[in-house]
Amino acid sequence: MTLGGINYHELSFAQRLSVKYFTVAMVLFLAQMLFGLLAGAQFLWPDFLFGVLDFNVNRMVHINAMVVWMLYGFIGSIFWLVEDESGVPLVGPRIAEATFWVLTLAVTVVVVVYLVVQSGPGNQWTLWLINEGREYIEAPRWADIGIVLCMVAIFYNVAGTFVAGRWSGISGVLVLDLIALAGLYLAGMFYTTNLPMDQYWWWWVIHLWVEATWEVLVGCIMAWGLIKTLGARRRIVTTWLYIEVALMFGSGILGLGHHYFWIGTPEYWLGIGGFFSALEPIPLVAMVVHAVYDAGRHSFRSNNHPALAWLIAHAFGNFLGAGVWGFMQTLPQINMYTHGTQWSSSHGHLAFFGAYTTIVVAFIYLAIQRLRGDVWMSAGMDGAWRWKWALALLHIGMVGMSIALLIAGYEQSFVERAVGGSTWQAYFAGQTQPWFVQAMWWRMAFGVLMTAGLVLLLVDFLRAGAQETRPIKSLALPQAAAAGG
Amino acid sequence: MVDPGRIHTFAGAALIGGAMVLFGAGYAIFHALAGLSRSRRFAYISLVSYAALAACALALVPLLDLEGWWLGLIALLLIGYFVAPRFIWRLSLAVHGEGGGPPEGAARPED
Repeated sequence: MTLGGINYHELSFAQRLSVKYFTVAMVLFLAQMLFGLLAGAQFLWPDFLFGVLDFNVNRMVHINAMVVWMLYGFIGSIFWLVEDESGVPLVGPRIAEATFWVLTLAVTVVVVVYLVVQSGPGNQWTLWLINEGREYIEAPRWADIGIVLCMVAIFYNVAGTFVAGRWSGISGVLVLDLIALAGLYLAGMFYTTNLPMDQYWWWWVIHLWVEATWEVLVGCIMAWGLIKTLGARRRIVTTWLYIEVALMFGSGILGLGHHYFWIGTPEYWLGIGGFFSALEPIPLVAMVVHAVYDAGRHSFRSNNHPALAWLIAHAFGNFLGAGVWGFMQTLPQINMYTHGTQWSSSHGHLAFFGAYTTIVVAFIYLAIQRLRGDVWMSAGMDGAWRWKWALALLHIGMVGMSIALLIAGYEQSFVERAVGGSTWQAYFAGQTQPWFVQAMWWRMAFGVLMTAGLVLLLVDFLRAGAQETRPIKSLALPQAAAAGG
Repeated sequence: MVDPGRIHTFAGAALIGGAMVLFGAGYAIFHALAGLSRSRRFAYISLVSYAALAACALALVPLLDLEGWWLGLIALLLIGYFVAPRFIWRLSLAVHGEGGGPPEGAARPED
């Protein structure tokens, strides 16, 4: 391996595949930002690109790009760790390679169709070929089936590799979680004409993916990442992974009820949703204790500072975005006024960024370290300003945007919901008030700041570690010598 | 529509809900710090954070007109937020106290 050079061909097959997944993920992340900026601009200038690239299309591509790039990031991370964790090569490299290209081709076709066919009648034909119409998972039926088949192929490769090699706590949880991930998507694929019933199943995909299976998947990735970046003991990390799974599933599964408050489901969901949603921050609060314990008991030193910084950002971001921002509006007495306003959007932005963007970025830095020949990536390495500024710009942008959206949502809840009584007229009245308009301007400004941070991050992905010549071993050897002495 | 005199209550309740989780984190952090440093000051701050959390939880009752089993929910919340950080602290001691195998990571800084 060449220190500081690109060692792509030195990587294992699965790791090379991961690099491809990460590359597409970052392209989609950039697309998410650009379409978000376009949608944000249309709040300020409603005629902007009207009839050319409508708001509903921009918003749809913005959100779909986010869902897909995060999935790509997760899949890339899984392929990165699978051979290391199992101790054997991937069992089906050809299938894995084909899956990547089929999935990427399908995603490209779906997005092109979104952009080319923006309006028209909705019928069985369009449902199969153009747009299924379900918010956040608008992909047409053919793509739905393709996604499930690709997930099955990925599951075969991951589970098969662990079967051929060795099992561990991390791999066991990971494989079971992949079954749930693919299985739950099926709930969003069938159609009923009863809207409450349709929404009932649709939320299984949205909530149970995001607040259950994705959280557990991230737990597995983080567990492996902590072993690699901090040298954390496997037994301890695995024990905490089991505890996290228990706590997350214990509160998260029936926390689903907070989406059932207003869709026409029975009244008992108010109680179930309120109760379990109130419990959802407890695991996050409790985990703070363990973080403080570890930081206090062990003076950890990391060989990959950018990755560690993003892992820390993950811990705080998850707590703030999902825990604090979520609980603010999760009780039905409050949610009655806030759901569907920019308040929800504020929570969504901060929670997705804090819980998922951070962990994927951290993992990409781990991959870059390997790609650069296992160099020491310290806070003082050449060009370190780039990752520090990217981290700062992305976080300042995201927090600023979330606060701006919170103010807009607060105003909407008052004017549109509480005073206006949720009428059609009140809906528009709520969006012309000065507080709302000003908040949208601030959201736009922070969105631009965040986009600048992302561009810097992408540049750093290409350059990080390039000038570094110190190998990781130079860190480990003195300690080994000290331990030996 | 809501009585104009009451429309501030849900927003206040939302902010208090957020503050409750933040105080919960404060309670957890200072409880852990008190355990690490055996400092009484951290232990007091931890209890003050919990008291603030409890005050927030109780403030939700009149703001949201909570009654019946919703009061039970508040009680359970108070118990849950009190017990969970202590439980995790004990678990941390138990898990780490038993030692472990050799590390797998490249850096092995804690020994």
